Amino acid sequence: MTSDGAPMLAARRLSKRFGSTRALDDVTLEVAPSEVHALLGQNGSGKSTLIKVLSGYHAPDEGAIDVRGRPLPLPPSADDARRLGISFVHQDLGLVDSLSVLDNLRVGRYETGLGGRIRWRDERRRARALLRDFELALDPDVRVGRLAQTEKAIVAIVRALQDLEQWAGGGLLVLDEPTASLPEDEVRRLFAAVEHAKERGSSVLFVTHRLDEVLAISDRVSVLRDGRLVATRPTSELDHASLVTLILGRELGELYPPVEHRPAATVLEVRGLAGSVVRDLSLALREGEVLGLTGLVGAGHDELPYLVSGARRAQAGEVVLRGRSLGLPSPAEAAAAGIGFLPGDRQRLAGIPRARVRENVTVAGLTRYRGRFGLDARRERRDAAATLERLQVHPRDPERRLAELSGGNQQKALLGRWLQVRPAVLLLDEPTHGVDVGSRQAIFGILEQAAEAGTSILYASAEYDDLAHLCDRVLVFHRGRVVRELSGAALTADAVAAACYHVPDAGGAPVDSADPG
Amino acid sequence: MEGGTPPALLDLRAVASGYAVPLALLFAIALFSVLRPDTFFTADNFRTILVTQSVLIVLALGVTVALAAGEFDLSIAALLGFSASLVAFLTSTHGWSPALALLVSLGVALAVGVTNGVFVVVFGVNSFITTLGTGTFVTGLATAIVGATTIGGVPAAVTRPMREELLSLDLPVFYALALALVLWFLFEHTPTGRFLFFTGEGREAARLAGVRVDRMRFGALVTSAVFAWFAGLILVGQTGAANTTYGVPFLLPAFAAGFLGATTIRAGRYNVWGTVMAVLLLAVGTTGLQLLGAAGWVSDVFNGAALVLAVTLARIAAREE
Repeated sequence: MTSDGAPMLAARRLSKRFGSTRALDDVTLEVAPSEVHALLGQNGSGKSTLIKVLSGYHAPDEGAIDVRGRPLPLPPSADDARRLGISFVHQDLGLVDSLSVLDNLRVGRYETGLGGRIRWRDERRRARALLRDFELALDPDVRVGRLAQTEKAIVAIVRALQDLEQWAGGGLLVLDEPTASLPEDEVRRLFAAVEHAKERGSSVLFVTHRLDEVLAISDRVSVLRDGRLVATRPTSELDHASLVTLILGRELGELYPPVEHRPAATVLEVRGLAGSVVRDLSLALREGEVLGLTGLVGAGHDELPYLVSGARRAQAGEVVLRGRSLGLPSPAEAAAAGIGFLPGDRQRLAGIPRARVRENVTVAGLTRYRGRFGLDARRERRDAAATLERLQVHPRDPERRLAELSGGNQQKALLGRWLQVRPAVLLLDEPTHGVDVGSRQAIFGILEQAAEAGTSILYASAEYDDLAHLCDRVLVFHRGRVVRELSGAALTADAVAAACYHVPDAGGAPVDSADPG
Repeated sequence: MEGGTPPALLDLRAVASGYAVPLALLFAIALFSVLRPDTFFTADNFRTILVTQSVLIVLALGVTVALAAGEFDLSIAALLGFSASLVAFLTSTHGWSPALALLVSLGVALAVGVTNGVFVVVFGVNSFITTLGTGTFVTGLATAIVGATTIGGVPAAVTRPMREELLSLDLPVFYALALALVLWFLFEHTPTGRFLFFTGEGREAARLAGVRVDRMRFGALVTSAVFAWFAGLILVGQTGAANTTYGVPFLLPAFAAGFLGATTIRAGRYNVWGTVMAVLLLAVGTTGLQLLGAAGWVSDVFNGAALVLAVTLARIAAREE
């Protein structure tokens, strides 16, 4: 074994470039034995690149990593990681829903007896004991798909920990946002599991967006910004505000003057909506308003367009359009009532790549082209061409297949699908993702025009600059609830970011239904 | 066919691949006509091909509707056998009026189509598995009711509408043509056809665009069942006898024609004239080979190879996009 003084993990002077961006820039980071070490930073700060270097997905351009004083080959294979005692739990947990807890825990590690027979009784007994250690009273034979999300996360942690068992002194457990989709009251159980791992002698590198978790559970905190390590500090020296300052790189001033309300008729009302993250959510959208929805990963803001449009089934709630209740509409009912929805996954959920651009543009209002002899092809083609012209889609040819267009032009054409039917409400999820800068500007122009023409827009995004630029009002979500509302002069990218990181005493306009404590 | 794309018309490779099936059909006709001018290149032979293929054309059109919606319907062959043998059983063995037998068999077909729809659309079971099961179930049920022997002596009221001639072609040729025209109109000139295409191409994307995809899939499965029923009527009328397993040899060529058809005319889409041409190509190929002296098994070899080839071609075409 190695000398006692060596850190569990020592990453020295890691650098990684992607083209002209420095994803990691001379990062040096140490994780001490039996330490819970939180890793923080905004989207694009280099957190995930660092984790991917550790897991062997990326090779760093420069730098070295030692585990307990021994060099880790870079990029490490899964075998290297296991041999040196590093184990990962990623955000998706990597469990197979259709298999039992036992199979998930033990597959590839089964103890075999004579003739390669799996010793099921021993396996089951051991799994039950292991789960009991983590306060999970689970039958090892139950299918993972039937577990609650928190239980799944704990099973994933237990599985990761057993790879570290051979290390008497414990190993390094890397948790990459395993709490992103967990409701708040459930996170405590997960924390208990992390504490337990620590007691068994393991170190934990914990990647998260949620500052309250960081303060509750970690011993030290490292913050990345623009690929650089800006600080490593003991958690006891930090509070919410100082963490936000470290993450954003700026002091937060007086950010929240009172919300100004524009007098305009309410077009869309959402009442008591509940989904898998969103809980008891109500909001009102006014005519011609662009209402931003934002929050950290798993906050639930991006679930809302899917629930309102019927793309995902809500558990409860009601959608009211111009005073008329639609109940919980199906996508077809929502579309017929004048609610258009453009999902974030353009390739799979929005466009039909092999259909022509014209067909993709006219599908939402196709029944309006019914003529005496079937579809009026000439009118359909003319309208599609006019939409492509108006939205500056290149190439202008409506007879191309959608797949032949660039991402930005596809997105403009798909926006045209809804704008062509002049919807009362347009629901958007990250409409500028995977879109070049020029198209992004064009899309903003298109949305502003649509809003001026009276279309109300719900805009879910985690791009704080976009939200500040485009929206009249922004609702900030935290664990499925709206915790803050920003508008007018208070609506700046920094203010949105600060609200996402949930600074408790930031003042302004907290929404009464939520208690940020 | 859309007229608005001059660049595509100039692209020779696109033209060749888009029209591979009609070109191959012309080539096969020319080839066999040269090799067997006395037996192949005769009006009688062409008439025979058209008349005997009308059952398959109707069945393949039904398959095309289901495929367009993104679903497999493997129960059609069983349904064809059931409707043919049930009509023979009711009219010949039990002396029912042909009209009543027709209605009862139509009811059976609708029931099977709706059953497929319920399992596939409502319960979300894979259509391949569901229709494999319902098809086998239907054949078993049919044999229980009708018996395993071939029933002949079908009354003239059933056979006449399938044997009368117009312009020296049997009427079923015109029935098949009429159905093809109706389907072509639906596919190319109505919102329903466009929605069907979207449903098959990307069910979730279509649903989120406001298309009632469940209605499309359910409707497609009921339609394919009704087409199979009608193909059964033609068959029992033409042959004057039926057996519950009469549909079996039609299953594979119907699917081969559907897939092969999707590589042509409107390449990349299941389309009516593509399917019709593909049926004729398969028929000309097997007939020609048999006239050259090949044994009866050549049709199985030819159809099987055509199915795999068609799907491979479609795959390559999709990759080149």
